[in-house]
Amino acid sequence: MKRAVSISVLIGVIALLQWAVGCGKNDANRANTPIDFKVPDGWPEPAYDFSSNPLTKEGVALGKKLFFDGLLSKDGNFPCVSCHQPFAAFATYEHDFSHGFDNQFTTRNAPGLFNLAWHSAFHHDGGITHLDLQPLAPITAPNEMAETIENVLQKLNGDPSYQADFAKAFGSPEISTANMAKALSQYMLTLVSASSKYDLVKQGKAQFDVNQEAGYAVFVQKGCNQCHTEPLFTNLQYAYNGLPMHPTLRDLGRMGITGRSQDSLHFKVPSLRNIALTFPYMHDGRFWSLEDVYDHYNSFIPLSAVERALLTEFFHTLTDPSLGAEDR
Amino acid sequence: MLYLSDVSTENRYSNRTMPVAGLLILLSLLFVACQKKVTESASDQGMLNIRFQTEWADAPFVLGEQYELLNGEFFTPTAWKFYVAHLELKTLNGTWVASSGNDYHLMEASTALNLVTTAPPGNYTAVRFLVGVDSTRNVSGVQSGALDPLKGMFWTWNSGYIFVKLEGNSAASTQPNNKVEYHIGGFRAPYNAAQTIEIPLTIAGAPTTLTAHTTLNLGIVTNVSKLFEGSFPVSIAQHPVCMTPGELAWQISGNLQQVFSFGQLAIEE
Repeated sequence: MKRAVSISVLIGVIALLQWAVGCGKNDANRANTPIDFKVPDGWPEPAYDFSSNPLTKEGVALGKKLFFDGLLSKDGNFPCVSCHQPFAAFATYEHDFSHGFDNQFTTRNAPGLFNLAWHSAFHHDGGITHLDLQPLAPITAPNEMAETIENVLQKLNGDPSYQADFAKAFGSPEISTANMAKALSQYMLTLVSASSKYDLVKQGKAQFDVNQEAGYAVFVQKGCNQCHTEPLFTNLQYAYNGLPMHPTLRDLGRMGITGRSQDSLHFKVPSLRNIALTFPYMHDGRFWSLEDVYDHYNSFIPLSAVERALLTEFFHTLTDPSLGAEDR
Repeated sequence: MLYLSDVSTENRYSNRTMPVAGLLILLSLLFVACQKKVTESASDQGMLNIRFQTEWADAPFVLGEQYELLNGEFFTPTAWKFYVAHLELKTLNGTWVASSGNDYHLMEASTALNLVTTAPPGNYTAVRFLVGVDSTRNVSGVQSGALDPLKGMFWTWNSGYIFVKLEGNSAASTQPNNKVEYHIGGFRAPYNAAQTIEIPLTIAGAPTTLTAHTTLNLGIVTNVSKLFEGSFPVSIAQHPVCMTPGELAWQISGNLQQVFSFGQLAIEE
């Protein structure tokens, strides 16, 4: 009898314990599979605060689904991936400006998306202060995805498969601005580009050929690395590189955000990683080829024909074939 | 760079292996944790009920009505919204005590013009609040609640909140459909457009006493005409639109100091 009582008490206690623990919201996340974000050897600490949005397998998968889904745009034709194409290092391949809703063009060249965890400001003018906020700009821009946040959430909330995905990723089927943005961030954060030949060379797993080695030396000697700093190949700052203002777009760059005249025509220094895939170049895509870029820089960083050719060979070692891979 | 994240207030108790003797203690702790939000301390706090009484000069402010500016221009408002944050009460020795309710409130003409929060009992001589959103919240990623970008008070292309939104029409406007749009915001120095407004809580020099279980009902007159006619006079013909953070938004935001003033005060037992 005594034993029966103690067993039933024990069962009761276990049931209560489960109920009590179950009231913690974090509990619902237990079904998740956490992903450890790996900082490549020798790289700086990421700027993104992962504790505010811990990566999970489910969150990343959901972010990828959203990234590829036209539902986020007004007419269904413009998912994120329409301008950020995996085979172009997530830039728009072979386009100065990208296509948006109703036969409109964007007003700047779509940047490649990789190593975003190290950035703390986004867009060519750095106007966006957090990766989680970034998707809201193209979603609501009338010449891009042309939607409202409200409509996107309504469409997602009306889709049972998304409700299930959000429940798996965030512990609740409710789809909010914050959860949608965080899922997209999770996917974009996994787009780490650190597997180029350059990286293999740095890790001692490969060797530059003679031309690549000489090109790397030109890159360093000419001071390209002052702005295009390794290992990200950008110092993440804003700079004026001598480009005259676009005659019709009249894009003032960073000054449009800060209102300071000293920021006029300053744009965020782009990474040179995957540069062979991200042409045309500059914030408005005005230079179609690396030759055009060398011509532009010629007045203050003159390069001989041989130096140009060597530099180009080095730049090709910055292409990361794994970035656009299907299984990513 | 490290950003403050939007830390939610979920409890973080987790299941741990414990000696059997500690099990009951653990259980009782967990039960308390579960009920935390329900029972939290409403009893020892006073209530603060603030109502923003929207006016145009001395007339009631109604969306869709036409009003005349001192400069002779006419204006018909269609939207009036603003953020109120960081409510604090001034004690007799001059220190400020924070209210304990939600931090951010979106006030909106015709739908939501009062906010209810709680504060510790005490004798107070003034209340102050921020009209706007502080810079930390502007750079901390996607917020929720009153600050959800969904509320239409967020610039997506230049991250930051619109602190005050006044929209309407005027024959004086050169914009399509005679549009008038003032989206006042911007957190970056030197053009931080968030304004701290202070309203006295004294009647004939005497402070107001807030006790537990009582409600302080405060009416704050919100004279929208002063947005045009404050220390920085705004002509619709000259500035029909202000849609970006920067110098103009900051100049107009200074007028908010004249927009808000004491209305009336009553203590409800």
